[in-house]
Amino acid sequence: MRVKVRDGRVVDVRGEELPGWDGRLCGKAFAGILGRVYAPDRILQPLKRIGERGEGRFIPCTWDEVIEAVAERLKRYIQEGHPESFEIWWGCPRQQDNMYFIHYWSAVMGTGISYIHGQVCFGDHLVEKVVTFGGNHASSLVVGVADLLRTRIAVIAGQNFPGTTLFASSCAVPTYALVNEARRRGCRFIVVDPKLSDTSPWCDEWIPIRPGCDAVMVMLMIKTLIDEALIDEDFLLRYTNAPQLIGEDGKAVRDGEGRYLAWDEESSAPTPLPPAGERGGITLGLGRIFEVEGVNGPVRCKTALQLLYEEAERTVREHGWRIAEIRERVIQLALELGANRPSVVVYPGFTSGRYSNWFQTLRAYSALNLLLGNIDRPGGFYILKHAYNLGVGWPRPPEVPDYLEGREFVPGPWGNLMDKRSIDKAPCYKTPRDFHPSTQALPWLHFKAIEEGKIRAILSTAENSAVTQPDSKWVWECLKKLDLIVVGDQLPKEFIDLADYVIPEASYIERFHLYQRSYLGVDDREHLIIYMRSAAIPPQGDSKPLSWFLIKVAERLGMNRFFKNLDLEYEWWDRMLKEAGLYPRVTSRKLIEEGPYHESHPLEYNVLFKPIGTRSGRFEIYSNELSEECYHNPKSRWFGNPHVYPIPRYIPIAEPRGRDEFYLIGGKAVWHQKSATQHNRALMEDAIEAGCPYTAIYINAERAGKLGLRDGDLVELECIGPRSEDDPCVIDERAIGVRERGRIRLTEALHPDALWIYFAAGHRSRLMLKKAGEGVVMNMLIPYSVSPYAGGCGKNYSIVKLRRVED
Amino acid sequence: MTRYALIFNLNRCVRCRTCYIACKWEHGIPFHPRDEAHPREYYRLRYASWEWGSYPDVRRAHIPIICMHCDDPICIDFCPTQAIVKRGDGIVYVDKERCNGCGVCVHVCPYGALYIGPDGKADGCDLCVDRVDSGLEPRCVEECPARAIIFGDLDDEEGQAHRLVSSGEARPLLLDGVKGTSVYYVPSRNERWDELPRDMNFLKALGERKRDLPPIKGLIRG
Ligand code: SF4
Ligand code: SF4
Ligand code: SF4
Repeated sequence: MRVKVRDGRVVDVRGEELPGWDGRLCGKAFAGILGRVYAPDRILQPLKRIGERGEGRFIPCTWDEVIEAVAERLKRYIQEGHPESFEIWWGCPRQQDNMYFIHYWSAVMGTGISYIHGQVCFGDHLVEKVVTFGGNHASSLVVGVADLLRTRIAVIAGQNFPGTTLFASSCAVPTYALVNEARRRGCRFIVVDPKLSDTSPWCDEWIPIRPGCDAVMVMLMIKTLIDEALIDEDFLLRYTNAPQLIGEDGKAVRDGEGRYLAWDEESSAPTPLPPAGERGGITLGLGRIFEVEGVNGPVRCKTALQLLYEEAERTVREHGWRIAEIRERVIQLALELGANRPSVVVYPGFTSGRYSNWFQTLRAYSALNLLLGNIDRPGGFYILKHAYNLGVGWPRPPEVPDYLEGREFVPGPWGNLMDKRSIDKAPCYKTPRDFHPSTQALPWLHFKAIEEGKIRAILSTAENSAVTQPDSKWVWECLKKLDLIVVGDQLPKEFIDLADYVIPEASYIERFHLYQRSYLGVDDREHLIIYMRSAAIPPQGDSKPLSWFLIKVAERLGMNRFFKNLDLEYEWWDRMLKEAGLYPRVTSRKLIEEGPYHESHPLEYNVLFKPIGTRSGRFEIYSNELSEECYHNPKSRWFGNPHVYPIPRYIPIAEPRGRDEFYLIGGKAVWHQKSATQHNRALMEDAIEAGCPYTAIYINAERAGKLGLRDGDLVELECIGPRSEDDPCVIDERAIGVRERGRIRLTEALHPDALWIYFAAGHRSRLMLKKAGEGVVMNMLIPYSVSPYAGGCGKNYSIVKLRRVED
Repeated sequence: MTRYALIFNLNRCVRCRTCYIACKWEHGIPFHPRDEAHPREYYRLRYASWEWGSYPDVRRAHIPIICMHCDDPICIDFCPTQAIVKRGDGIVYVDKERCNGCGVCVHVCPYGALYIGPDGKADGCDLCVDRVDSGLEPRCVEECPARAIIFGDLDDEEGQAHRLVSSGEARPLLLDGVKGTSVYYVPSRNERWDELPRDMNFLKALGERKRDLPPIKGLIRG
């Protein structure tokens, strides 16, 4: 994005002249300038709380006061030997001041740091992709990059499609270009969602799914594809572990050297599973039982594919009734997908952790795609092949004194490095692991640590945990226990109401950050861009970048030697460009002055462009990792837990029962994106909503009729589940009994079992726009559930009782 | 001759609302939801949206609505100060010098396309007349990330606008009493144009806009 500045003020914005953008932006680019940078209630000076926490009453103070307060507190924790009692919570790499720097600061100071929102956003989805496809292939698949120009059918589940998909890139503009071109070339888009969302009518068909039942639908498709022999046998034999032999006890059988086995048809004997790409004479073994000589005598086994088939059959038999109304269409769709393979994609959406069973649901979606053989094939999912390793830009000794000695750092979110002993990482690096290393954070452990007095101060930036984590009541109670809360932002939000000090952060066009992004273009090429966000205008009022504040705190603690020569505007990013081998051809200064660095490449379908990073070296329908780390590991806390069963499995979730009980689910609005936009005046107008009011509670018209409800009625929602007795994934049920009020909106475009609201449609901060307070604060109504190993935090998993109340 | 047309291609529209914001940005129209200083919302472009059918066979339409630049504008007929002008190229705009802010046009426009702005004058889409006169495209056309808005001269036989309108692919949205307009729509392949109800809910919303206006006595056709 380029901005035109006159007399120090932004007067216009334009998109970059890059393929996919061609100078265009979406409305949020304008809204950011109007409703954030120049918002009339932008926070422009440091504030100090005068009322109770949560009241939102502040008086102005000086930067010096805040710096002193934080330094004093941190000094005490350091002296006590527990600098990690102080934590930084961050939430979005795009809304964030230099994310690598805040990790560096935290490493040097020994404080905690957590990408606390990341796990709620997509953490368990990434885990699933790594478990099934391995780390080299996961990142393209998690965002659903697809060769759409050749796709014939695209099934998109549970996402405000095409409004908030990623598909092409994390900006909507190239995605719109790509999906429109795909559609023009005849691709049919089908959306599977309990709600026909605001943007999804752009699609050709809506399949309404009952909340939590996606896996039943997918299992029906899997069964249909196998019954009709519409699976891609060659792909399965070459690239997946569908042929892998699994013993009667459910464990993989291995030979004397520990190798996984398959059945060789020619020799009628077991043979090591060949390397990916080769199929030798092995069989998929559908409907067959093999006998393999084991250490303790013969072992009867079946292939992973046969086990998947049996699981699918059982699921359809026992649970098919849950999707009875769409059954015929789903079978038909499976046939269409099978007939058009591999030029089809079935994408479960990016945001994840919807219900406690979502990890296994995602596994089922992946198994379906593997049967269709659509990974890195024409018209299927595409694995992006080009990216630079930019590192993290941390200064190294002798530039600064040694700070890494005796400490071990492991990969963190977005390429960051994190201390292996930290709250988020320690459970992922013990033996056996409690959680997968690709989890983005383990938020509930932080709340528990606050309750135990282990975390005593929080600095929050670019996130709003006060209401963006499930079970806000619990989170809110925890936060109130802290010794010190400092919150940085430009605009009011709940976390600010709780803060002792509020720091006015420079906005995204008042500071510096380097980003890299790869995407597919309408010109049928893979593009890679590296660009700098730089200060187009000075920080407004008394605002400063967060990094400036952190350095001041460090100075006060006598830690200046780690920071004194740091140039965060140019040199930091040049170090990263050097790491990537791009410097001096590409420098931060050139990126700012001349615009983004851009390269493009022809598409290249090559599954094995990098090794498949799973335990079998193949895409895993039967997850050896889940088996060995969790399900069959007696030492694991997840031993025998169905959520980590190595074959994808449908796990029923808790259900509403009474005529006034519903699932409460949410989704995004295309004109809003993140919780950061719920206070944006330019986006919060009634007129922009058309017939889809932002703060309403949507209800199926027939269900409403049966309850005697009419459009616009004021109702109260009371959380009644899930309880831990219904679902062992629930770890905190303080939300049960919480009530929230809002107005209903009748619609035909919603599954009868569900109530639907826009994510973060309601707020409780008195400082925010009046309208933001009119909706339901959804997270108040969600008990905290955590799915085993993947750590999904069921953000759509709430059961409520609805009753009308008088105005 | 030049006859301008603006066409919304609903097959491409992804309902992103960029045109709404870009138009307000371009014309400096204030954004202030529920704000004391601005009791009403102001906009030249808004959306009409409705659903039809019953669960699970439901369709939902979403259509950007602006001043349709009617061939025979009823707003002009009723304006007591002759403040609304229709140019030879089809563009209808409000002459702010002459407008006395009485709001009659807001009441009579069948599309709810006009509003009284914070300056007390009527305002509505003027097809970005200043930009068009200096050779640029209207701002919403330039910004639409889905390239769903097309602007052109119907008399330019080579142009896309001419092709879409003359082939009947793009059609006007004619409400009662309106014979022709300069704004057209290419219906979405999923929506049957004839099924779109004509008593659209944006007309209800128009009532909201009228609420704060002074009552009008004895409308007289000019
Ligand atoms: S900008 Fe284009 S795609 Fe977006 S709502 Fe307007 S017409 Fe539709
Ligand atoms: S749409 Fe309304 S404002 Fe525009 S020309 Fe027609 S009557 Fe006048
Ligand atoms: S043509 Fe200009 S005034 Fe009319 S809606 Fe588009 S941007 Fe607004």
